[in-house]
Amino acid sequence: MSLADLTVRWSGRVLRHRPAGSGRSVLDETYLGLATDNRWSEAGLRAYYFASDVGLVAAEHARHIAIDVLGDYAERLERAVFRVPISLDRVLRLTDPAVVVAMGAGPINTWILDLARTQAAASYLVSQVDRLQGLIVPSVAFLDQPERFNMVVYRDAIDPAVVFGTPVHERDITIVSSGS
Amino acid sequence: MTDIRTAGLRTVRDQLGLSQESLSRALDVSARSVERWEAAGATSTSADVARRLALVSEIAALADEVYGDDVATFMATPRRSLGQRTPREAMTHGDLEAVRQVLINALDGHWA
Repeated sequence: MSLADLTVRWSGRVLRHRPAGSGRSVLDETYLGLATDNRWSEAGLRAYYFASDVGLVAAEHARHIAIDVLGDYAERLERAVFRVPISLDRVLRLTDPAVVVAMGAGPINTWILDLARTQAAASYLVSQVDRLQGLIVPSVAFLDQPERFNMVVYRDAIDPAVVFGTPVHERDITIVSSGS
Repeated sequence: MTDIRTAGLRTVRDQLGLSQESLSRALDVSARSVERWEAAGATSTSADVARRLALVSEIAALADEVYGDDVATFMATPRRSLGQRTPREAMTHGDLEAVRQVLINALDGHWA
């Protein structure tokens, strides 16, 4: 079965966050595609990231800070979490082992921690699957809990006015992370 | 030469906790130039310095958006992505793009 045959429709509500008090929309595109450390998009590939739950939001953000900040230092960030309705027509579920096999890759848990490899895998999928709108991927913060996931939506494959509903502010959270 | 407004330069510098000397190194100009620009509110300079000034202003705006009242802590915290330097040290060495990248990475959230 080809990768295109494995795409599915997906709709639901997922979470995205911005700095608390920011004047920008949570779906603002100004800096989309410029981050260098997102797992499923190389710099230049514009992608929105979402999370299935607020614990995942906090864990993933804190994890990156802990990697970057040196030991003995800590950061405290106030973030506003929004719930965003999404409706997509062509999504690949990398949480489904059959999709990963169709990619020609080994079990995802054996390579998901390799940032260069996941970014390359995403670029491969975008190039190989016509009109691929997004991925559902395991969270590296919760590899033992496959029901918790990230949704990656590729901006240049969608019309935001059609795909996204109105974001609703869910809550503000404080993320405190110390260096490792 | 490029004409630029420098009326907000003092505010930007204070926000980032930079001395005139540190900012002058970030911009690759003399400290006297920074002092003069802050007083004058406008100047004419090279395209490269104008680009660096725009970057410093963008860094200040992003730092304020991401860190709010904790910008001073951000500026004083060493990071692996900056070669174990603080943002203040990186900027003083002229490495403005790297500091901008740290803030961009944090703005939309760190993921996966």
